[in-house]
Amino acid sequence: MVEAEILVTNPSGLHTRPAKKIVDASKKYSSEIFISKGDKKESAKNLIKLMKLGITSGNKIVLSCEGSDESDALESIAALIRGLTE
Amino acid sequence: MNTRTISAVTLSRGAALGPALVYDDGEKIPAAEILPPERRESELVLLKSAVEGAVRELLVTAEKAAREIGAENAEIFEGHADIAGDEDFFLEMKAVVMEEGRCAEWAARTVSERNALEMEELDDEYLRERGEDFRDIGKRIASHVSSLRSGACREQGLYPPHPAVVCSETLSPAQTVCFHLPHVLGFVVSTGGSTSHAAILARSLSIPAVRVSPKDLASLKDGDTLILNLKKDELSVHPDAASQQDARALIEREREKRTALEALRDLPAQTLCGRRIGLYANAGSMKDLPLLGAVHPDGVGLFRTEFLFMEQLSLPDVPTQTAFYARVLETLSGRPVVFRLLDIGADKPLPYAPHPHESNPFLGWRGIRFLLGNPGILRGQLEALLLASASVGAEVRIMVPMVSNVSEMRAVRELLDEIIPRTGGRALLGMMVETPAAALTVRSYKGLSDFISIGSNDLTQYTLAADRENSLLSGLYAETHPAVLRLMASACRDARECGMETGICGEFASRPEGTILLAAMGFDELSVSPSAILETKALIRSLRLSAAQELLARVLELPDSASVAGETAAFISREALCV
Repeated sequence: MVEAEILVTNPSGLHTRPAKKIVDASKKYSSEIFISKGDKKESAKNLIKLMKLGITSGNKIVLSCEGSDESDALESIAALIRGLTE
Repeated sequence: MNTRTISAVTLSRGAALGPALVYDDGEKIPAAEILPPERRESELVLLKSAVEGAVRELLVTAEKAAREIGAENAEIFEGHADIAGDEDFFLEMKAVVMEEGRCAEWAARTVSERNALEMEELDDEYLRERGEDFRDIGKRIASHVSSLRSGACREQGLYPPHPAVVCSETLSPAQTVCFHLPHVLGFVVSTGGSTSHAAILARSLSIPAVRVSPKDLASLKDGDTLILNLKKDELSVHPDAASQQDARALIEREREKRTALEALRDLPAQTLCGRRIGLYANAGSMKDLPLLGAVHPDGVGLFRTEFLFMEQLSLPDVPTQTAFYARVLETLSGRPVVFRLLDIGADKPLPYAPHPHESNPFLGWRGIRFLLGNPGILRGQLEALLLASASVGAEVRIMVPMVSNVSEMRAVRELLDEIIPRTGGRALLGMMVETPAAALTVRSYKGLSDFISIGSNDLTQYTLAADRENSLLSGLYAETHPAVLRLMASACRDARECGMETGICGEFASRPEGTILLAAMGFDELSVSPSAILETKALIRSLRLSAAQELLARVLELPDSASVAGETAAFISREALCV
């Protein structure tokens, strides 16, 4: 398993639209992909659960990937989250 | 047929005349019924089609919104479409149908309610508001189920089949999107307030809409001739020929007026003699922003930040506030936005900041007085505003409420001077003039205040010592009292002489007598509610400033508000102003 800590900096956090981008990207990988905030952890492939983590600008989250394509998944999704602007 | 008149609440202004058409959304399955196992599979098929229909409709709506009110508004609907079409969301609903044996409407509503409640437990205000989105999505899917069930797929043929006043308990976006709008003369509903979907939609389409009691709604039959709003807030059933004639004439006049107003949208608020006045909008929450898109204000003259604080269970932290302010700035893309610092008092307390009992809260610990007593809140809000400014690259205008002493503005100015270099934001600082003390001493704030904005509602009640809400005092509270007008005029003159920008953000600015007198006083900017922008602009564009200044000079010498009102009314008709 690989993981990375990420600071969410886009102004509106992981609300519907940015969360949807992450879900769409995650679903392209066969690895299990999770995002955790504090002690809550949810699949990054589930839009509603991801929204319910309540991730806002300034939050630190941990992205973890486990599976055959875990490194690729980690790299591209971490870049996606860091590059969010809305 | 006997003519009858039903009292109504207007949700969308305008008159309408036509036959009633009672909207029937088909047979409903009693909510409590448990479906036998053999019916569940077909119920699931129905649910699946309804979800697909809802997603399709949301995407169409998003496209329409992007075209008509701007791309940023389309995202709301795109987000709804993402959720409605989400696989896991469907699995949750599927379980309710297949395992619990509930109907598809029930599944859509309970699953969305469950999710809404969970969202509403989150700390972040923006995310919590998404709870309401789930409910909207649930309703939309349920309404598609109903349409499919009744077999009346209105997407195919024309509905209404002929021009009609549509009468329905409620109107969901799902229903209205399928309507053939040229055939919809008006709406009569029995539920929903002025901020319901139906009301907002009706207003955005300029279709008259009224709400009546459920009993009155049930009394309407297909083909009944109806008139909406011949007199405001009235629904006439079986009106006589003369009333119908009057209604036709009124509808024609309204149509001409609307066309004329809409033509003003992109024109400047400029008097006949060419003086440009900034016409700004008042706003208080993200929900107001789409409205702003429709009327093109020159900026926001009053953004109330209370909403953000009062809807929270705990103090919103700096990142939350920053994100919120940044979104407002982004939406206004470069046009000025005046944020009023948290204006809290004993009459509107925060759930998490205890407020002592005060025997006279309007003369008590409110506005800047409260903020200086809660320096953490003040500092956090200033920081967030400046961080938002830095992140968007736009200047913020910060307005201090309830100023009565120079020391208050000095304290805020000092804090700001310390915060600005750290954040890299840009700000103008201004004072709200709502106490007679502030109005009379504007000159003392030179160098401390970059602009003033008159809060006409409070200035009036403090000057006249008359509570606006007290029905025993009706008639005493009047912005047109010469004492109030003189305070406004002198504050405006003094501020201009000190190089401060001058604005006003109270209801007075959108009342015809207010618009005229304030323009004459020389205010740079009038801030009114979004729905009043176009009408205020029409008035300004028909105004001769020199004549208005003569009027102002006369009314300042009058003894009372009644004579001011009379003089102004005569002026309006003499000058043939657009009101």
